[in-house]
Amino acid sequence: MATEKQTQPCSDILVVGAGIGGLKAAMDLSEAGRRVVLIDKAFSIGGLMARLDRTFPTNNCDLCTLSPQLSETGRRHHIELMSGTQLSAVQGDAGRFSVSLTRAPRFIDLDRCTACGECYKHFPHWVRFTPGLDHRAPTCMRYPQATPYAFSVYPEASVHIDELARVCPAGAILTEDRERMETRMFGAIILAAGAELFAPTRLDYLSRGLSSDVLTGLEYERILSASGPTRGELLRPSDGKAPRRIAWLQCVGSRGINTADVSYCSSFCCMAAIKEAVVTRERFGNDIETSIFHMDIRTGGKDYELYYQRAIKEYGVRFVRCRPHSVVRDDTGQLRISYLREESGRTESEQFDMVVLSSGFRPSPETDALGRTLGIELNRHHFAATGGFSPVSTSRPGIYVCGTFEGPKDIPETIVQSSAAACLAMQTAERPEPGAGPEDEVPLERDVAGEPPRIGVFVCDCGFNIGGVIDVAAVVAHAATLPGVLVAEMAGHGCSTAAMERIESAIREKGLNRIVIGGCSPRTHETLFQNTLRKAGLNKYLVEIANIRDQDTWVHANLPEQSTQKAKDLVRMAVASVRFRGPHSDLVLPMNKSVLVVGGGVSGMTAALNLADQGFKVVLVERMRELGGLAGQLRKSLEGDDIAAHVRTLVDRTLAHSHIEALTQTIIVDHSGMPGAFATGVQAGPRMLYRHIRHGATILATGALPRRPAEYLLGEHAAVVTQLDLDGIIEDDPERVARWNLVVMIQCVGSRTPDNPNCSKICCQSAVKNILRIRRLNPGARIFVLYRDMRTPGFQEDYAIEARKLGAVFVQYEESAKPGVCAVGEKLTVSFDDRILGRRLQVETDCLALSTGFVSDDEGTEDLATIFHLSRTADGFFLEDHVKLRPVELSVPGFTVAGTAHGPKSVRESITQALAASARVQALLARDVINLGAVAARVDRDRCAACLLCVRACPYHIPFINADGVSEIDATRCHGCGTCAAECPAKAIELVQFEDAVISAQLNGLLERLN
Amino acid sequence: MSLNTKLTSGEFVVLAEMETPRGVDISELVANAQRLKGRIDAVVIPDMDYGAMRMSALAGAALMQQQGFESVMHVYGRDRNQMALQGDLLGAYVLGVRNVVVVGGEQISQCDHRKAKPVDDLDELSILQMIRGLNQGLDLAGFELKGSPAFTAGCTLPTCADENAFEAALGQARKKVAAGAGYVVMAPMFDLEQAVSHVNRIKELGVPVIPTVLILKSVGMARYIAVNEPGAAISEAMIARIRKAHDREEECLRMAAEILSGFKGAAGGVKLQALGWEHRLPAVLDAAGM
Repeated sequence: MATEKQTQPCSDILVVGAGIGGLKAAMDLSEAGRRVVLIDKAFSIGGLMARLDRTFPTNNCDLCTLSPQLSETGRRHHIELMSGTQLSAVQGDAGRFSVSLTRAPRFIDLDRCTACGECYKHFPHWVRFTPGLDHRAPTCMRYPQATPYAFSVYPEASVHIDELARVCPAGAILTEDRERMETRMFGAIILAAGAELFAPTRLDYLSRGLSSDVLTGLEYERILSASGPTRGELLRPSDGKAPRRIAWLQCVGSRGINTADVSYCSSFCCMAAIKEAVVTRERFGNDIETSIFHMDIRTGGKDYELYYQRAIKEYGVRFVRCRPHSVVRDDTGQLRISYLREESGRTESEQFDMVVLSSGFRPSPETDALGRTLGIELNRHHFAATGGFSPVSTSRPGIYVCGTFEGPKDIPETIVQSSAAACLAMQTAERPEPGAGPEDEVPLERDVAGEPPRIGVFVCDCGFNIGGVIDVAAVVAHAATLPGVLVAEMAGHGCSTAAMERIESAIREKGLNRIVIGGCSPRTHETLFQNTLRKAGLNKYLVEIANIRDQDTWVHANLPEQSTQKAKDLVRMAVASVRFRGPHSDLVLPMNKSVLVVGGGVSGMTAALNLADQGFKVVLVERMRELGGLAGQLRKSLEGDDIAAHVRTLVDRTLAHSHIEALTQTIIVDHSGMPGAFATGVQAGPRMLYRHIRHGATILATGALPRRPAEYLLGEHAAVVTQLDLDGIIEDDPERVARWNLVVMIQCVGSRTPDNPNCSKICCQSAVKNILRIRRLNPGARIFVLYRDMRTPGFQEDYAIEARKLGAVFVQYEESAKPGVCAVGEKLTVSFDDRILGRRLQVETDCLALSTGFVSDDEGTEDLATIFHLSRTADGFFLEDHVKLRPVELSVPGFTVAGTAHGPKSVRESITQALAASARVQALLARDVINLGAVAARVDRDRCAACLLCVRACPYHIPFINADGVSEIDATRCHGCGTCAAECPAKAIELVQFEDAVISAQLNGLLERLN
Repeated sequence: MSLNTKLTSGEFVVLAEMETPRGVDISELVANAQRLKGRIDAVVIPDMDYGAMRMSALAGAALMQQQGFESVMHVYGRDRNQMALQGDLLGAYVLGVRNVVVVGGEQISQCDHRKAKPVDDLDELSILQMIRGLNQGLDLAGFELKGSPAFTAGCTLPTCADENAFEAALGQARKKVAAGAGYVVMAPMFDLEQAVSHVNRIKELGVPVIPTVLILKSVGMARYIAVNEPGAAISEAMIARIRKAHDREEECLRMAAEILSGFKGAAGGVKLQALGWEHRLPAVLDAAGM
């Protein structure tokens, strides 16, 4: 074993695991200017998400969302990616960890392997291109955009290494490769090692292992996936026929008491099953019957409840509230599910063609060993233990955790935790030396002025997206005949790391000075290609993208010949115009590094303190007289943490911090500027003093309001309280609680109703929390909980189990048959249907606690949304930029959201999101200048007749007639919309990057064929 | 025609309040004032309003005089003793300032210089009496002045949460008028009907009444005032009106213009208070057709 010792500065941060969580943490850190080493035990990165088909609730393709991030990770200089690597020892303390990393032999030189597949063709069983990920064959591609884009050799095949070396045209086979160990220094460590999905090979009572048509959720995702074994066709494994009836069984292996079961809830499986059912009906026809057998449907995430409702109403997915005791394969091969129909109490039996087992997360077998190596505590379920107010900190200072290594969760929650972990790691690790940033390493731009056009054309096939429709080779051949074209090539997946490198080397070797990409949307991919040009020493504006995917193959998928012709036209247009593309320089402004935090609750203060501790100047604006927010009214969390004490500490620290200016009784009234240079007008109380706050970024943490609907005699009868009230009563008046004989709780009061369709997420755990506390004070009290679905995801389930054990009675009700409440003087009776007994019960109660949840501060968020131009959800919460991958950023650049302003969530989740917002802000403010791009209107002074048309046309009021009597447009304020350029009758205004010459050339290129 | 003449002749006057800068860059102040040239009768210069340290009102008022505006200078006793007050008033007069309003100063605890010491040598009433003395050629110690000023002094009437408070404020104002106040500046009220009835009752003191027209800027600001200043009489309907508007800022300006127009014929004039949005005052005047 070879050992390399290196001395590294302790500003580096180690991220363990390159699934979506680790990738996100690594990218946040690199954006903020930190150097990251990202390791993964697998030979290519992506983790679990790369194996999924579509993401809820948007039903976007998972790979399309993930792969730009994979490729981005590969391209980032700040991120050193070490695949096939595991952590073997850790010494030292926070800020100075000495970590031993063990790299398994790959036998393939990453720098040389082009993933051409020759080795695989000759020896399919000796090499892998990330295999083992679907049940078809061990050599199957995980996904075409694998990063690193290279094969690896099975260790057992290394005896044949010389034969492999003979067939490799790239000379990439390393015959002498072996395990290597190196020790490096890190300032902080982020664990994103993930978890596994429970995948039993055999579960007799569910016919798993007996029938190949009983699949796990992940296997079903592989069937739906375009890169899966059936290429996205829905065919059942046993006979390759299309199934007509599919059943999902929830909680397989979770929330159970059998030996193979775990007690906790895996949180994501309800949404995953609903999504699979919806996608099935959406893609393969409404005649496929989809039934989901469940105990509770747990759709507690933001807008997830709406997705659930759509699944029922729009897609006709059937939900059966029952945990079937068995799946039996009958003689005909059909699967028979017997279950107890709750409404009738009778046993029913139905046949299905396929059964999907929604199996949840399990800690991976390496977790215990990794925990020991790291010296961190694990909880009783063998996930990393964290604290109520320190949601991403392990028990060992300096080691942080995110994603499913910490507990079961879905993608947005993982992303938020990843950013939060990145935030704390940045705080722990030394700040790197300024100027050491690898961004400075890009070569000088080559001066191409006066050179004749030397054009390189690269046409992508984008897998089947483009290559499946048109003849890419014919397009390339056509491009090669066009004037000025020196290189015309097929690029495969042009956005993959390998293709980018190929383009870069072509630019250098052939001296290309203009590049045309025949590919997808410039909106998503232009920056990627621009960076490649820049790395190759060309000005980044010398590239033109012909969008032959979105504008051609996607829309004319059934017309291959015409599509090929159109692709040729589009590429010819791009070739014609690219020669007129000039080098442009980007406009820059200095970056304002202070941050405006709106809202002084737990989220706002957590973010403000975190940023201030790292030297950022923060202005915290709160409209109320005191800091503290809604959490200031809370006392205890479900886990028993003292929320009140935590809030007091936050308030004291915020008020005392030298970098935080806290303005209370302050209202935001106007706003202008751009990310890095915002100006926001506030009226600061108590006397409405107007001030301009200049800031580079904004965090919205304005919270939500506790709901108090006028239902069930709330506000009319003294015995009727909310769970929030009850939280206070238990702390302040325990004698009163001790006198209660019977307590009734009603869930979903004012939530999941037609006027407020979403789930408030926290009320089930509040109810469980209060049950446990009441029973502690008054062990004899009888407690009834009337619920629709008990939603205690993750480890909260343990508390719900405890509540049941302590004798709380949980009775399910449907929205159509709500409980009734009747007051007779002091007395209060509650009546409800007991579906098991089949009759209506009536109990006299001493306390009726309503689980009322959150409602958005509609007026407040709307006011801010109008001033800041932000989007909101239908129920008045701020709408994030991307539900899945950007759950912290808002649609306007420079704005992030934290806490309940984003949607109902617990204090712990709010703290996580606040830290995540801080990380995103640090990434945004990492640079010293704001790059405004080059698109801006430019006035030709000699042609301007000062006719004022541009002054009037500009929607942003930028042009003005200057002292010289001509129109002047401040390029740094210009939005680049081009309205003035279109209006100007003298053609004195041109929009840089959209010059007339470029557009005319495009048209000439198109019409050439007609001449 | 001077502001004093207009007030005494019953002409409707429009005053615009403009804060001095915290610093020496006066360009914004001058630009904002110049936009209103010919459209207003005077610029009101507060003195470190709301306890925020700024360039002195004396300098601001003199600057406005230089810029061709008549200025109205705020005076109060928190920061200056009686000698400084008199000295500054004489200086202001020499620099062209003819009008002052005696106002209440913010509590020192609410100021942005927490360590500053308050003086509070004279209250509003005493300052009005002192000004009358100066106009008559005598300082507070009874010495004769070499050349006496001729200030027009006004007083203020605060927001009143209820009838009792209004009665009390009216009583104070009566004393101030008796002490020489030539006009009363009334705090902002958004319910025009109620405001006009207040104006009419103040008018009985025998001096012109100048209500303040405060420009709202957002739903949040309207809500804040509605909650914290019930005397300002912002109704739910007004908040709803801003919320429903296509362009909320424009709507706020329009509402200010409507209130401004409503005071025409009912009051002696108005004071426009923009609190930072001075650059939008021309739009308010446009909307009011003035």
